[in-house]
Amino acid sequence: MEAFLFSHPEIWPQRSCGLATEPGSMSQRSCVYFGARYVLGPVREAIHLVHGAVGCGYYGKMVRGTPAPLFSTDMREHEVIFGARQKLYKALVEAFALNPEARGAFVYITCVTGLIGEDALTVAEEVAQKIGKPVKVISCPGFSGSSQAKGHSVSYKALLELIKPLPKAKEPVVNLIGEYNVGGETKVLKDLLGQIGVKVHLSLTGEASWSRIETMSRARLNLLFCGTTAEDFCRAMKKAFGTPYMKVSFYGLKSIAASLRKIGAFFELPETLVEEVISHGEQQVLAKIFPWRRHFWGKKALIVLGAHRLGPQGKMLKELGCEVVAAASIFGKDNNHKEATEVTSIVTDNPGDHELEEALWVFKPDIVLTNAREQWRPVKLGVPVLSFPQPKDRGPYAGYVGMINFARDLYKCLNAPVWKLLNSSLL
Amino acid sequence: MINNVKEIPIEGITYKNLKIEKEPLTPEYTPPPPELIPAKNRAVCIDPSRTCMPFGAMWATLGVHRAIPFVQGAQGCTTYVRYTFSRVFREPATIANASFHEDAAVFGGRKNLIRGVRNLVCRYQPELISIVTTCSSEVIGDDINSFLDEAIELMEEEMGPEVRDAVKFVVVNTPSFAGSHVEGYNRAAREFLKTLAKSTGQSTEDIYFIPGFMMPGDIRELKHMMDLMDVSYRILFDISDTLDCPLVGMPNRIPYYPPGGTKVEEFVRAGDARGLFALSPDAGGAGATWLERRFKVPSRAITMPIGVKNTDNLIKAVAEVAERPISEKIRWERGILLDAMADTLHYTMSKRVALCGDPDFVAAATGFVCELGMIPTYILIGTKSRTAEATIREVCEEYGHNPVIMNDSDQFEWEYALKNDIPDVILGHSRCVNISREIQVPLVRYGFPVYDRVGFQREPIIGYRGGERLLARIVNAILDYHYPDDRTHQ
Repeated sequence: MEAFLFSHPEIWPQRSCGLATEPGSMSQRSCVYFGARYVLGPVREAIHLVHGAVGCGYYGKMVRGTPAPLFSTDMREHEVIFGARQKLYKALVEAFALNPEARGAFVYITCVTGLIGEDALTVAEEVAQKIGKPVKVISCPGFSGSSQAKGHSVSYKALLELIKPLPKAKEPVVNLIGEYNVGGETKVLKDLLGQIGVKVHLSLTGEASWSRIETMSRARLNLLFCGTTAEDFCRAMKKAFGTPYMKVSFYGLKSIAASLRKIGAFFELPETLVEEVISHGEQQVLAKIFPWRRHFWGKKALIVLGAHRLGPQGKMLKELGCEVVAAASIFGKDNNHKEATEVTSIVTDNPGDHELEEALWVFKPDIVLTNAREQWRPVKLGVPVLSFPQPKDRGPYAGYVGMINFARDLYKCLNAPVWKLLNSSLL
Repeated sequence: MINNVKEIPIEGITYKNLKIEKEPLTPEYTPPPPELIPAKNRAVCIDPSRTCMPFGAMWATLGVHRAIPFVQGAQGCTTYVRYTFSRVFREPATIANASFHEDAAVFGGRKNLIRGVRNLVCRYQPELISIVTTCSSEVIGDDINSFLDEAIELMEEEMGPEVRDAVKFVVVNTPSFAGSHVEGYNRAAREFLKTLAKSTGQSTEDIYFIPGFMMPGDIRELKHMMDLMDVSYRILFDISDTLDCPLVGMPNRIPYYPPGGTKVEEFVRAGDARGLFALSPDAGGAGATWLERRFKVPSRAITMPIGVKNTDNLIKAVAEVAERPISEKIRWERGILLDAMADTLHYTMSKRVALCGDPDFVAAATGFVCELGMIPTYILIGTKSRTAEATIREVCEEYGHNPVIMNDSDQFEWEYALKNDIPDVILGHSRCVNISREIQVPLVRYGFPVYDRVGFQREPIIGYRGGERLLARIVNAILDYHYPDDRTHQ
């Protein structure tokens, strides 16, 4: 029966992932507001105002590494009962007064304001008229979707509305879409693309500002990095401004080379230049990781990551000689899982703590790749963890530099003497 | 200021000691409108030094043996909190969630609670589940108690009465818009005692403590002091062996539960306690008040034992309630702290210090810095406090200082005050790093949250030995910043 289903993918149940979370399952998923903050957090030249209780304003600041200043309306009990229209208006005007250089504002709707039905849209309009700057309302109450993916899509829709039509640039200029500057990746990618003569206009939202987003239609190509919602954004941009897009990945040597060649072919760059950059980069990486390679060979890895990272990080591990025993996404879509099947045969969606512990128990992996929130659970059970997003000091994992960083961190995790001490008994 | 580094003007910015790598957004620095500086004039809140109420209730629950907080709200309400726990403690925190989606917002969270509780009981076999409500469940008006009754009934039907008896439930109402994490802990302390504590009429020897947001190291120090006093004690919400556990590898059975935590029976027997001390009046004081009213257990909320005077008060109070003499060893530790203070008075005397943090920490630490001869200048009490301001005023009056106290304000107001009147040292949490870098003043981290340095959860700051550690932290920070490296002791 299973073989039959595999050979007939059209009758294979398609909606096997991205479903609502089972209550009490200790899922690692987050809320829609989290997703919106993840995408919009670092947008500069903008006011970020969280319309809700104080907790959302407090936590909203720790979603991304370098967020822009965050304002909050800090709603209190009586405002929940009587509505906080006036407060929102006053808060927005004050935020503009405190940040006169801002070119616009994002207002985040949270659970409380979503539930009491605050009419933020008209307030936003009033303020926009008074100040003369646009105010975008991001409708992202935490409960309004099954995971943070919904928040990503809401915020990309809002970003799309900011873009103004512009003539295309003469020189090869690209936008990086779905690139989040994890551990300083934007700089690495900019350098790498600069080497083949391609300029980066902006990185959404690794390095984005309001004015750059407005003018992003001048780029000749969108490079799509991560996420289904980012792809929707690219598609919409293609429709509205005629900017073509291209899926690329800068994780792992094969992907980097393929992506650079694709970009080179698009801009009709001299092939020798591209090949030179590739061979130079690969030589550098190979020379650096050569002494470590025996530590990676045959090591079993378990991957539990957001959505899009499953496949790329799995490929990086495979290139280094590790074996991926299983992979799970937290809020992935079908295409993310399909990509992950290239590196492992066991792929699942939305594991809770219990499933994670069971996987550690059953697969006995040598290393776990998981997100920063859950990194200490495997460690407590005696399995080293390479957490993601990695802290700034570990550096980016994208590009050739990133490959070296990744191998170095993997080496550190696997070979820390602490794991040997753990297994040796006390006298 | 430091080693006479000159002010470096960057593109016309006349901003005191602006760091070079800091990229200005505008060509020139525009000061904020003066009328918008005080938080009470503003509708907008910038950089609050407090987080939401469910966090406190979850913190308290994680200090109970085999207990799981079940958060009746959207998934973010736990994700952020788990992230905070993982950053501060570097430990797994088991927190369950009702996963509110749109249907729950429309039809209520009844189904989520019933299914969630069933899943938890089946999979995790907890001894206690605390139902922690959030903004969303409070706004839609979930009738948690009747949902819970239904869930328990179904559980009994499905799994039998012994499972039903094995799991205890505590409901803590914590809408974020009604308070902060401090109030959340306070409510949890009251609700746990209300739901669990019983009185048999036979008084025990045990003295109970509610620690508040003390770190595992602080709780261990408290245990150490009580051991020296030879007092029989119980610590409620004891996170010292749940959020700071040894690494032992794969356990014999999963799910993993940390070995420690307060047992449910200890809560049950609290009604017979000889006395109860809430060591954080704002986080746990409500528990003390309730226990005294209900079971006539002599209960007291006292300032956190940071510094000499505050620790003296605790030791004296415990000695009085337990009817024990103050042991020589305690006096010895006190002497060591006094010696350390005398050794370093040249570094600490007349230094101007700004403080920021949770009310209980700030109130206690102000007492300590005054004892060190420092001058508190600007004090930010992160969340509205009933007692902290009075405590601070009292101690400052005693030492003749007159600091600006910002109660229920945000960090923006406090930081602006600091920029215009630069102190010599800042006592604060990890969110004060920015201001400390900007005005180039050493930051001494303490309290909650410290996530950008390791080991702070294990290092005590309470008691005499903790005071000695905190003193060393303060002096070393001053030395690092204000004195050239090796010429100090020549």
